[in-house]
Amino acid sequence: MNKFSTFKTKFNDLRWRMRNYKNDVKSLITNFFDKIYIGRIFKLNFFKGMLYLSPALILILIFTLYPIINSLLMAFYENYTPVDGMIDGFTLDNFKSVLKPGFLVAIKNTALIVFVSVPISVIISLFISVMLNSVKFLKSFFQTIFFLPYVTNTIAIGLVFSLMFDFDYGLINSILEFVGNTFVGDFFDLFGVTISPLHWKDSQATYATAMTTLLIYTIWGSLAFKIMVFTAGLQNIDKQYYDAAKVDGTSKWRIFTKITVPLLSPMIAYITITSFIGAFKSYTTVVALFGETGRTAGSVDLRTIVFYIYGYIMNGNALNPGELSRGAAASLMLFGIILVFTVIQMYVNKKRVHY
Amino acid sequence: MKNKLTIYSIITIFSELVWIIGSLLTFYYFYRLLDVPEEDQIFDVIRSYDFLGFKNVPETTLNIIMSTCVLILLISTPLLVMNYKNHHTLKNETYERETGIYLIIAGILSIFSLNIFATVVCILTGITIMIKKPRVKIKFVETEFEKKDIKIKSFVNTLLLFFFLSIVAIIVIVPFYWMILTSLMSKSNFSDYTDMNLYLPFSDMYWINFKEALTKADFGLYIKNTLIVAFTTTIGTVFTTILAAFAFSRLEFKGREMIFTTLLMTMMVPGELYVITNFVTISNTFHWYNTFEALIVPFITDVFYIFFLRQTFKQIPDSLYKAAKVDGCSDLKFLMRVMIPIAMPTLITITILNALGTWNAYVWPRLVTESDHYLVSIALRTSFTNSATQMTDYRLQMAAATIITVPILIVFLFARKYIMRGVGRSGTKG
Amino acid sequence: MEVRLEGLTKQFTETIAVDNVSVTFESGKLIGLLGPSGCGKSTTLFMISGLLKPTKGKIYFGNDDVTNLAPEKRGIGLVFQNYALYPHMTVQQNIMFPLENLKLSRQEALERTKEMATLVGINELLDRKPAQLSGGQQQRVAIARALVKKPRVLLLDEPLSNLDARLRLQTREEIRRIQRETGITTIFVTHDQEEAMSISDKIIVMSKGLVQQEGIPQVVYNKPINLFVSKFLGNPPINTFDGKISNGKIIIGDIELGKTNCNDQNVVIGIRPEDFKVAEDGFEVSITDLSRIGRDTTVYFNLNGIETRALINSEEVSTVNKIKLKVKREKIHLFNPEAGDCINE
Ligand SMILES: Nc1ncnc2c1ncn2[C@@H]1O[C@H](COP(=O)(O)OP(=O)(O)O)[C@@H](O)[C@H]1O
Ligand SMILES: [Mg+2]
Repeated sequence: MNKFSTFKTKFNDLRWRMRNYKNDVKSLITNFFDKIYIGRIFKLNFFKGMLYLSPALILILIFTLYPIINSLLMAFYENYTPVDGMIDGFTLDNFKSVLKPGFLVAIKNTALIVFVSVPISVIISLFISVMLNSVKFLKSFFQTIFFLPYVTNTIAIGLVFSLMFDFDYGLINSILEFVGNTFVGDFFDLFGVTISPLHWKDSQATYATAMTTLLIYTIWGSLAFKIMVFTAGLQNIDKQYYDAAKVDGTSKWRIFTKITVPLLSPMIAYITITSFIGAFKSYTTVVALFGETGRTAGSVDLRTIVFYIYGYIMNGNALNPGELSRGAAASLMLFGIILVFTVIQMYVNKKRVHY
Repeated sequence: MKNKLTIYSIITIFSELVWIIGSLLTFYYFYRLLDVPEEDQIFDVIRSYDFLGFKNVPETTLNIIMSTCVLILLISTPLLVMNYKNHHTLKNETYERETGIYLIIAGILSIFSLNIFATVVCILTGITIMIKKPRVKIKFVETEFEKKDIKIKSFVNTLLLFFFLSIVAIIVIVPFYWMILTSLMSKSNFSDYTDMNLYLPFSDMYWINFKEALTKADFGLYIKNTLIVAFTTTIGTVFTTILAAFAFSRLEFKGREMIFTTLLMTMMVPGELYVITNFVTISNTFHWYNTFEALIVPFITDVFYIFFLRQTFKQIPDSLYKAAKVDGCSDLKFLMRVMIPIAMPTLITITILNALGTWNAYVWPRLVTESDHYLVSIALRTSFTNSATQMTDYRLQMAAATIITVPILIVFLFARKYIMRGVGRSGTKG
Repeated sequence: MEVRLEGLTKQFTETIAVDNVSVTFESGKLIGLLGPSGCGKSTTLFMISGLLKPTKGKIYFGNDDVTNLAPEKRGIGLVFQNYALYPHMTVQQNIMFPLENLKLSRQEALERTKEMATLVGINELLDRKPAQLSGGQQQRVAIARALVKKPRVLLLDEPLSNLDARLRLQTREEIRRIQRETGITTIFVTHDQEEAMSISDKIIVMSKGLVQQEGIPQVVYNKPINLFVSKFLGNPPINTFDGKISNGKIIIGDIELGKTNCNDQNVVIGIRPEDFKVAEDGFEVSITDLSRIGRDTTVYFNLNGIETRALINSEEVSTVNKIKLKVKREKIHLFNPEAGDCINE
């Protein structure tokens, strides 16, 4: 350190003498630090770096890293009781007992949510973003409105949807009734379709209506984020591409398919992957609409995979021997599904995403 | 005072401020006055109140007064913000003709907030500006043929575009509107579902529902819980995040990259996987079941935020750090004096996203707490359904939903820029 | 195809970017539109292309009024400053893109693409993506894409500004060659006077939205119509002095440069560095600095308080630091100090 400080004094001296040659000084500083200072402090600083990291690192170790490993192991424990931490050995039965018919229904429900809501919302938001990008007047007004669902509480707005889809009090049924009584209703009557109030989510709801309600809410809630990402992406596309296309007389549809979509493809890929992951983990949307049972009063089962995971913990279940292991097994399966899916997606994207 | 316009603008701002505070106080006064009806009352009871020497004033009158107060707030607050922003341009005389037009529109809007004073001054200012900055005449030579066709075509296109955008906007807005509408309905108004109630007159806006929701269902407690948790986790997160991001972006030590890569990899694992172990850790190891610690401690750090802030820190040139070192500036001082001020926008984004996260948290609080430590989302889901009859009091539920949604919307409108910056947040929500 | 602008004006909200411009771009010529950055060159070009609508004025292609015609109906090829090549398409797809819009048969489109690729010399690059090309190659692709439709007019917006110095020289010759081979009317926008002077058949000098002067490059260079043009053209730039005319003599300080018929007045005198000649009967100056590049030497001296440059044959510079110089009368440019107009005799 002593040697260093003499060097520093000398150096400062030099600096003052050369104050007119600022650039030289700058490069001197950089060289000096690169060669001497950094080299010495490198070892010394391990302790210091850890000091800065420790608050975050300790918490992450306890609440993220350890749980990942522990849950991995837990899935294979036999008769694990969390209170005393006793186990009877290792087994694969947890996975077997998870895979009961109810879980298969959950997989079906999740798959429906994933494969219907994600493509629809991606396409809708893509169109909305392109439209939004082509207006100037009121643009930020619309942008603000479209973004609102992102910041709102999933449960709160889910309850509003729940009310809007209510058989008696709901806005949707009022609209259906109103439309059904106009010429539009008569028109549809010709094709044997009656427009009239539906049992969306009450005890008489069918799987189709209940699932539709859920999908509508899921799509409504997921548009905001996508629109935001897409509009940001569109703004970054150089306007000259469009000018060039205009000079060549390219039609609007061709501009959309041949220029906009390919140039946006990295964004689309990113959005698709993250939305698929998000949709695989659907939970609060279902809770908001159908309650924690995840079922309508008429026992239409809308539970998703995550319902099963939490089902093993909630309502005191966690204390029963083996329940948590089954939960861990179920979450491991979810992780596996998501992982496989993400890898496939990335592979496909690599082939399809341009540049 | 140098110019007349500055004085005008100060007068407007002042009168709007008085107006806003006045209506807030009035609203609060009557809100205090309202009597929450007894439990299990099925029908509306016509209540009447005595205040300030008036006797037997029906509740509908109170409703009108309170609705008017809210209307005034809705109009005056944005105008105040706008006038405050305009104040600078008026002071420095950098205004354009548009400023004048805005001010006249603002004046006209002020009429609806019954603030005649602001109306007059605003319009006066607007007209003064318009006189000072006359219209610049641009002569357009109307070019013949074809142009008309093109104009009509592009006009129709634009119209269609706006039509579609407006429809989408309505679809987005309707749930919010419906929520607020329902939250203000009386019992009879609500159950009268044969007519489509698309609006309410002022006299039928029952502000008492909010009071009922807050007191009856103990919703006030849940809001308090949520605020406590949001506040502490946010402070903790910001603290740990800054230190970690600094270490990752500036300090050189062995294993730094390895640790960072490991952390990044954990972001790919779905949270459901570690919830199970965390439940055991919290309830058995730490014995924190149904305490605030359980809601706070696991959430005072977040890998994504560390990553996010590190990116910002990395953009600050390294030469700055080295130059500071030469001048004998300690790491901590450099962090406080240089890095944090430069990274402030990112920190604000992190703060807002984190607070929003707590506000919307559902699963974890549900797992590790019981009813006295619930956060708003859970309370909203469970508190308004009668456990015996399975009947939900939609009005109160919507009132509670409004109470937790509207503040967020207001924050969003003010902090739009910061929230949108952080939307990259790995697409997860709730 | 001749392109003619009549009173063309473009006003953005506050700025008048192009102000009442009336010029003719002759058929089959390479014409340089020249001026400092922000003077309205691109705006003019985009109005010719139809991407911007003029506020006022008319544009004629030959005898057709195209002012209100959509860009794609004008038959133009446009090369953007940063080329605007679609990054997700290969070179071939990029060049073919305009043809696909025209609904040409694939066979024909391919043939034309090949033909263009040969013309600009990028035959072996057809399967690459733009990111895999050098700046000069991208430039050629952009030109090929603009030419593939067989446009009536080719418009180039600062086509060389994104290239490094050596490529710039090479590419500008290339553009010249392509223009010669195709014989297409070409409008070439640049802020680099040397570039414009070296390859254009005609240059149009603009400043602040106004056309200052147009003509054959050498003529404009030798007979600048005002101070701006004289200063803008030439490298090293012209030397200017405050002087006066008195009794039919042109005078800087106490040096007499020559005779004139003009009335007595104050004038700004412009002399290009290469117009100073060493002569025994000239005025004497003391050299402050010298820099020798090959055959030519730049001599720096102080003339009436102004740092002046002169370009002189190296052999004529002696070792002494005094030198006698003279300027031919027709090489002395006189300008009105207020308006900057050239004063003619
Ligand atoms: N879209 C626009 N809106 C407002 N002003 C513009 C726009 N495009 C160009 N201008 C202004 O017009 C002037 C000329 O611009 P431009 O034609 O691009 O100059 P250049 O000669 O460098 O190509 C500039 O002052 C520029 O600021
Ligand atoms: Mg330009």
